[in-house]
Amino acid sequence: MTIDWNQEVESLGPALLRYFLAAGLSRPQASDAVQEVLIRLVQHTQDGSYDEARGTLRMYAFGIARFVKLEKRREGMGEELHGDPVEYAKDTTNEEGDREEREEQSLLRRCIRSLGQPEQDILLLLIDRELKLEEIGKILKMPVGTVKSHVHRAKEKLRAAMRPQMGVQS
Amino acid sequence: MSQDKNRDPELDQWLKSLQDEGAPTDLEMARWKKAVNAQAAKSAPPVVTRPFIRSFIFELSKVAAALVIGFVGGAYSLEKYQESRDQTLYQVDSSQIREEVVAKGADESAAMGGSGPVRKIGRPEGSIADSISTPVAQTLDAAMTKAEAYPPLVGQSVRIAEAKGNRVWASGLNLDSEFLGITTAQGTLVLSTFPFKGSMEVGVLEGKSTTIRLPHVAELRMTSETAFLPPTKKVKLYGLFAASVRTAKNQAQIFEAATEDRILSRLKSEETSGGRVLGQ
Repeated sequence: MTIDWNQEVESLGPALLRYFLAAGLSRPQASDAVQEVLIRLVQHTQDGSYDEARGTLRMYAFGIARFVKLEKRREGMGEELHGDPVEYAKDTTNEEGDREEREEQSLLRRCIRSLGQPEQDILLLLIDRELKLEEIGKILKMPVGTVKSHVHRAKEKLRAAMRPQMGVQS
Repeated sequence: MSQDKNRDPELDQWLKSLQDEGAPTDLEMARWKKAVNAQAAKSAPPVVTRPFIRSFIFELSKVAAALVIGFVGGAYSLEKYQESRDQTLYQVDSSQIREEVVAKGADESAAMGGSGPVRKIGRPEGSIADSISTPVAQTLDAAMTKAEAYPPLVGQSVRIAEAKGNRVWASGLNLDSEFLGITTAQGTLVLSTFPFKGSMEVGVLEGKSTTIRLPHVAELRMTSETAFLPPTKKVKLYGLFAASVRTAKNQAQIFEAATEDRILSRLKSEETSGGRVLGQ
């Protein structure tokens, strides 16, 4: 199996970066985490750990990303920017975005962080548009139906959490 | 970009702001690519260079060519060797047969019943007359056929005794001749597998034991420690009994001959002597 790693980096890099940013890592930390995921992906591909028959490379990469995120959280590195949208806004390259949008992103991120573990993981993976529910189920080792139930429950919780502040209508 | 139909569009709308944020910079992309390619080069299997492949294929083709040449050459040599061997064997057989025929003569070979040198060189398939069309060879062929049809009497520790009773005519005889004569106090018994002049069929020779039936003589049983004939083979046994030629009581004499003439002349000489008792 021959993989064009430059192409994979261009495809996976931005998605993984969004994932780690949504998980609450600072920009430099998220960037380092992406690099770590990509390096582990190369290792697993070449030592035979990755089985193409069991899923796509993208799915496998997000599986690694989930472990990396847990490791970072265990180390306490992800706590720096948690709940501090102003500092987060300084780190982002999108300096042209308006303040309201950044506040909404910060609120959404905090709401996601307030969710329980399966729902939070599912929502973070759902940020990548190319991941299907079946693939998310494989990453989290749960059936698709369970993933859908968690999505439904997460949506209800997000709606309840954001309603008083953003006026989200159900 | 594929979109999963199971995904919740409303939730996707909410997450859209997060999906669009945080695009990596060119510097980050370059750093990631450099790290990934370095890792891929570190853990990748050794790259086989083209010169190595070329030299390997060249060496392989040399080995294959050597094998093909060796196989073809070996097969050709083997074929030639078999041809020359067959030719040599044919020449040796023919010359040996001619020498034997010239040296011994047809009459003597026929008289020997095929037990001479001709039998030692082996009989080719078919008759000798087929391969050498001479009168001598035809006679020789007939002699060999005769020898096969009338094998010699061969046995170890042969015992001849009356089948009913305890009278033993002879025992401990080692036989190896075409004609066998046994002289006892009862008379002289001549045996052969060949129907010689004056003889009659007295039994069938097979295995280690045979029964001899003669007129005016008690039924006899001849046994041997070894088989008279090869397994599955049996021939008629011919015999002649001369009551006038006999030994003293409790004595026995045997005489053998390779030809019919000799055994009959020996018997005739004893009879013409007036029926004397041998051994006295």
